[in-house]
Amino acid sequence: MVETAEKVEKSSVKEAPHAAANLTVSNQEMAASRTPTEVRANVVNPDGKLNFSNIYGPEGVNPELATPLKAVKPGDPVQTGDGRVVAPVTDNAGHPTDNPASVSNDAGVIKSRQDLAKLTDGMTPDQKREVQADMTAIENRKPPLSADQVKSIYDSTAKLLRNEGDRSPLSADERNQLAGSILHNASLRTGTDQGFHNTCNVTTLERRLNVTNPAEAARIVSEVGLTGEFKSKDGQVIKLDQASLHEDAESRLQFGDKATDGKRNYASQLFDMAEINNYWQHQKPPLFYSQVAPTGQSDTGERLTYANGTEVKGPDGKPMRQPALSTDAMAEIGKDLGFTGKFIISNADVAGPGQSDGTSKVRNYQEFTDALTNGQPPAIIMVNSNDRLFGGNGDKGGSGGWHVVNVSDYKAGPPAQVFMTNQWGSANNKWVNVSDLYNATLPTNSGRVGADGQGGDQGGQQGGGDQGGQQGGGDQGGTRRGWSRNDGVMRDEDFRSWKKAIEQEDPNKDPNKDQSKKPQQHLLELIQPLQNQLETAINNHDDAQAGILRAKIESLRGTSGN
Amino acid sequence: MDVLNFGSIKSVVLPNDWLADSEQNTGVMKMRCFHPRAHDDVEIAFFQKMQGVLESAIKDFREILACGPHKIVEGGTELIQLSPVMGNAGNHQWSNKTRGPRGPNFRYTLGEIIDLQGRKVLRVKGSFVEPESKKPQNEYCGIFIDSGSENNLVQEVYLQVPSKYGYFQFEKYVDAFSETLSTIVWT
Repeated sequence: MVETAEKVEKSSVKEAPHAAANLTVSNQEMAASRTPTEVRANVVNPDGKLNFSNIYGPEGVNPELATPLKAVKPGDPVQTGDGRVVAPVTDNAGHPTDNPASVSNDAGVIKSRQDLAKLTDGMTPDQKREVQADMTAIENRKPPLSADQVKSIYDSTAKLLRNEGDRSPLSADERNQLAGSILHNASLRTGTDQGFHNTCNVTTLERRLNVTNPAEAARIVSEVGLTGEFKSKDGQVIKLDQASLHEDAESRLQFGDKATDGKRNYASQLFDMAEINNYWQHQKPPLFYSQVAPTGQSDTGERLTYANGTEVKGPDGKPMRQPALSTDAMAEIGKDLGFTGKFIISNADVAGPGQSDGTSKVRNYQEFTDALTNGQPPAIIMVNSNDRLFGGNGDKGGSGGWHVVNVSDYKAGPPAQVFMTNQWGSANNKWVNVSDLYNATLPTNSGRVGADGQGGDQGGQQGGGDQGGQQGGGDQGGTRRGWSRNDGVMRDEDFRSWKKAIEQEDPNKDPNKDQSKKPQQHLLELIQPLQNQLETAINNHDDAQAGILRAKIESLRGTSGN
Repeated sequence: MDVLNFGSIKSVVLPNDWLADSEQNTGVMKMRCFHPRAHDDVEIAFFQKMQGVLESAIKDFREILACGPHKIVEGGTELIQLSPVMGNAGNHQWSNKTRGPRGPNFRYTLGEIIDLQGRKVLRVKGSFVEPESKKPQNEYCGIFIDSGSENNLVQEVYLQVPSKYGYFQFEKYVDAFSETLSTIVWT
């Protein structure tokens, strides 16, 4: 949005520059609180409705948190799932002791570990050290992974390194790098980062899979690295752009190096390729997602194309250089990954009305906390990246793009807090107030609640879905209806209308064979998202943007003769 | 056309006949783009990644800025130290010696620390190229700004012109860009 001096004078009320200090605790406090042996009390609100024990199990310990960033050191005593502290399962050198409680002593795990270790001979000493640290962390995750999970992670990684039949499109160095990053992601020693790509959507799903079923994450990435393609659950072979399978400028950074913090690693790159293409190649028309060398300073290198290579256009007529997924689309991917229940939470005024499998669309703070209570961890939350929680300035002076984060562990408080795993690097993984997180899901400044969850518009007064336009508050930012270029996550309504439009635009389609859509209907589908954006621009008093959008709408109408 | 309040920039004046695109504020970047009426693929962009750069990289950047105006010599240590703050332009022929499709996507031609309206910034010129064929795609001139000691964020203002328009056209736009930069008022 372009702001004129005149406009700023009119809206001269200044916000505190950054309220983040009030929202979070320091990294040191965070690290201290992530002591793996701590058992947390459940969060129960005075009204008794917010009870996190449903999410985090009878001990109130979240598996993601309990799998520590502050990893168990070799030789440390270990707490079992039932709270008992038992003798070390590894000695000081990281080798398993004879403690029968340790998954490290499972015969199958021992064999798989030994097989994998032999295959790391081609790695550098630094890489080997990192692999060892990751394996130690995997075998000491809390609650412990089953022996089958650990064995399966190792076997998938070993299969990639073994490369029987020499069929992998990757070089030996790339396979080493990929194997290391598979183990690293399964270890949960750090966050899972998206780097400079619009892939918050699939990164949150990948993180969730590595928490709940890391063997499946390892299997998917290993299969892609070995074959250059991916077989979906229905048997369809998902074709992947071969050039996109090689390391990009971020993923070639040595795994374990500090410079990788915030960057997308190689396993995540291939996971993104597999799952985004798995979704789009099941749609009509099938689309293809790839990664090319950036052609400019703000280019993430992402491309979404039709089968003939033509770039797909976004609702604004520009190339759609991102995965282009809504929460409903993410939920479909999640279901394919084996997720059940409602694991994505968004605000109904943003994502649109209606519920779908895997998503909870909430209308107020109470529904938000209820959705957390009923979901399985770690939940995925759709948030406004321009909210103060993310270093933005709320809805003043800019429009936020929609983004998703994972939330997991909690502290009772007050105020109640959850641990947020963002994909922007370790500094962005932090404790946040549940109320602040809820506020970040809102489309506008209106309806914000205090630290106690009180205040705001309770009881659905915020407007509902299509009726959300009544919320606009002039300089407060409007409703954020309509698609904003490069939103990390699209609103479901915008997504559906855009998908209809691109079906008509498919250059591979023979217009003589499909008369199902009349030109007039097609035109309306193209214009509708632009009209939504125009409404937002008018609410924001963004005259320049409104002018551009009016011209585009007139141009489309003119082209059709209407 | 005045643009106000983009991080460290309190205000800046763009050429009158340039048009504004809608602001982008995604999970990974924040950007305001402007383009001339004649060429909507030419852009002056106010750009900031949402992720800060590494502590070590911002420290190097600040130390080099503190040395005051000077050239960043091709192939020198300073250029390598600055590469992590330069985003996509940091993947250049001096930081990435690989050949082929994994080679650098930026050809660095000039870098210097300059004093811009009382603030030290890094100014870089070069071209985005296709890594394998080396075919130029976009000509680039931009500045990198340390957005403040309280975070590790680097802000950028850059001009990007498709290489198909030729170098002389690019230089014309560089003049307009330089004039724009000279109107910056810092916060």
